[in-house]
Amino acid sequence: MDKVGTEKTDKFVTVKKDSPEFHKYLENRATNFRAVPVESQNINTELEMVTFELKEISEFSAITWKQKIVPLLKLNKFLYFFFPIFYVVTTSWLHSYEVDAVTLLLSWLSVTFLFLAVNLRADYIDHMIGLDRILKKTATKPVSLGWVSAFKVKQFSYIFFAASVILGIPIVVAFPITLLAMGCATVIIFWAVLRQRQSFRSHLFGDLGWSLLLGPILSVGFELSIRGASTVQTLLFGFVWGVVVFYRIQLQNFEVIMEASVAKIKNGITWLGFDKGKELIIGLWGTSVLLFAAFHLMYSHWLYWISTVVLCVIFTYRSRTSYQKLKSPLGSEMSLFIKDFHQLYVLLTVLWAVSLSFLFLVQMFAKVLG
Amino acid sequence: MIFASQDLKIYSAQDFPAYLPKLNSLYDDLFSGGKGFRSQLVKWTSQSLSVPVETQKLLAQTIEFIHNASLLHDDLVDRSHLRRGKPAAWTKYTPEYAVLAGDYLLARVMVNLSRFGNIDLVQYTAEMISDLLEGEWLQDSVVGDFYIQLEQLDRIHELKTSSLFKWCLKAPLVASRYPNKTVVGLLEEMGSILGQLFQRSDDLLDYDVRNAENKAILGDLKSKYLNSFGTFVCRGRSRDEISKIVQSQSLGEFKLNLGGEAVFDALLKEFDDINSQKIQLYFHLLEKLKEQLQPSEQGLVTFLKPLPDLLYWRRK
Repeated sequence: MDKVGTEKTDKFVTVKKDSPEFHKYLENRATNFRAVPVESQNINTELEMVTFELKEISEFSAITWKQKIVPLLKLNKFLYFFFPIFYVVTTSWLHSYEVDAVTLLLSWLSVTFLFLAVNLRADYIDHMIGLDRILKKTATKPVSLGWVSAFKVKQFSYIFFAASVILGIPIVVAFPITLLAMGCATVIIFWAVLRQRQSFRSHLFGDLGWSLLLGPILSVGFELSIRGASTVQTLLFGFVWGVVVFYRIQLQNFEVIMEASVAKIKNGITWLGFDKGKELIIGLWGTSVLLFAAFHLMYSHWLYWISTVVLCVIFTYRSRTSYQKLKSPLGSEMSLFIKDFHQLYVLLTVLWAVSLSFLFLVQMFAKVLG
Repeated sequence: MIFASQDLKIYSAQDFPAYLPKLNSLYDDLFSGGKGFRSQLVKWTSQSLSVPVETQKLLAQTIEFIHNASLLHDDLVDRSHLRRGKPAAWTKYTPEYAVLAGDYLLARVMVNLSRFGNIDLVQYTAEMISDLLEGEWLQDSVVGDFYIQLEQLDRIHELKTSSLFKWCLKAPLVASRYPNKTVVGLLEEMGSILGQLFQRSDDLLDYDVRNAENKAILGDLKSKYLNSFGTFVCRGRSRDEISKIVQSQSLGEFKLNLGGEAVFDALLKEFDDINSQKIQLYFHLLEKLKEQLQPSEQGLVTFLKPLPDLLYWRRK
């Protein structure tokens, strides 16, 4: 509809979805200005029309590298994949399994790069299909606000993916059985990315896919990649961690239940609705604690088991107020609820990490003291 | 009795069953005194696009019925005792009658639109009513929440206020099956901005800013509802500070708790600046609309041009 090119002609520009310029503006390929979406109607429909505010690159000079990079790296989600790696490495050491140091380093780098690649790709797709214009609260700001171009984000996702694959080749050569986990991961990632590209309206099973990926597949796969074998304990850990991750993902979905429902996005939370969604969060948290307790009952000292479970119960009890007060998907009560229940997730992970570190230290001292 | 908004007939007593007690007198009270601004929006848009007069009347009546139905329900939900300077319907005719009268108006809307026979219009109108009710519901769910953020309130206003403004500009095109979808999209976007501007300006009246119509001061705050300007001035402040601000009993005390008259004025200027950017965006869209309209339809641009002035700056 508009005469649009790569030259900046006006403060605003309005482009229809079927215009050939639509993707160029969204990708922000121009070098002298950035197009920031300010108004969108009929998102993800044929009638979609986006008005961009064209901003000089110099307008972003106050934005620091830290502000640009940290949200893109998703440091807050690093725990998702970092903790299973930490668990596998520590337990392997505790059980005195023979671990190959080179493949350990390669696997760690490969998984990190894959995690970055997938997240950047998701940010790019969210921006292109308009999801970040709907779910502003969970959007990656550097992309949605034009601090970095979506095109560069896409390029970096390819680079990280290529790096992940290249680093993965020696691991497969060393331990071919790793291909099994890699195959499962590839199927899930491509399935999720493909579905997301087609439409953002259905995430009903996508969340389960991510939980499987970050839980059992990552745990067992990583163990296979560093020593060519795995254990039932690691598999069980993976399932428990998968449930914890699933809880965290649902908490994030719950935070944007209203925006997602309005945009007709299908996920477990929008399907259940606000009241039952709230109960699901409580249910998933309870399940996480129960599985955590059962796992530690099997594999930890009873004293540690009792103290961690008691701590979980105490902190859960402390969070009851924000649960009871929550009566709207909007407003400050939702923020408090999300904050409290996110802290519970962090608490559970920290308790687990402390238990491993404690065992690690005890064993190390035992070895040192002969 | 026939009520008219300017020269536009809104409703006739014959539209409603005469045997129902109190219904017509309730509507007489309700419809008199309203400015009929939304029906005027419909009328001006329709005229510019040569929409038949009968369709104009239907659309004008539809938007006034929906708007007034929402007022009937809103007053009861908010426990407001006055509407347009008169006792609210629920106080004069009982809450039950107020609810039923509102429901009846919405039912009439569907009957009238169904008779018109344009299923797209029926669907679009039903969606707008859903948005309106969702907005009301959400607004009620945040009453007493003084720590809400402006973006969150905007979401409520988009549903509650902007949906009606969007409808006023878009419905004439849907009703006449206007072929240029770009024009439809542009008007929808402009309607959304007008709704936001109107709501924010209306919220400023609460703080006696451009309050030519002498709306009650701090009425929203006293009803435990922090409106958009209130939310704006409280952003970044601690919970204790906000608690003190929202307990203000007079505008003077409110300004004092904010940090004085100068702070209030600076915040107002900042708020106006943000909304001026929305107005800039509106004028950009107006330019795009101008390019898309046929020469015979350019009157629409003339009509749309002064609306931000009228709705936000309250210049007559």
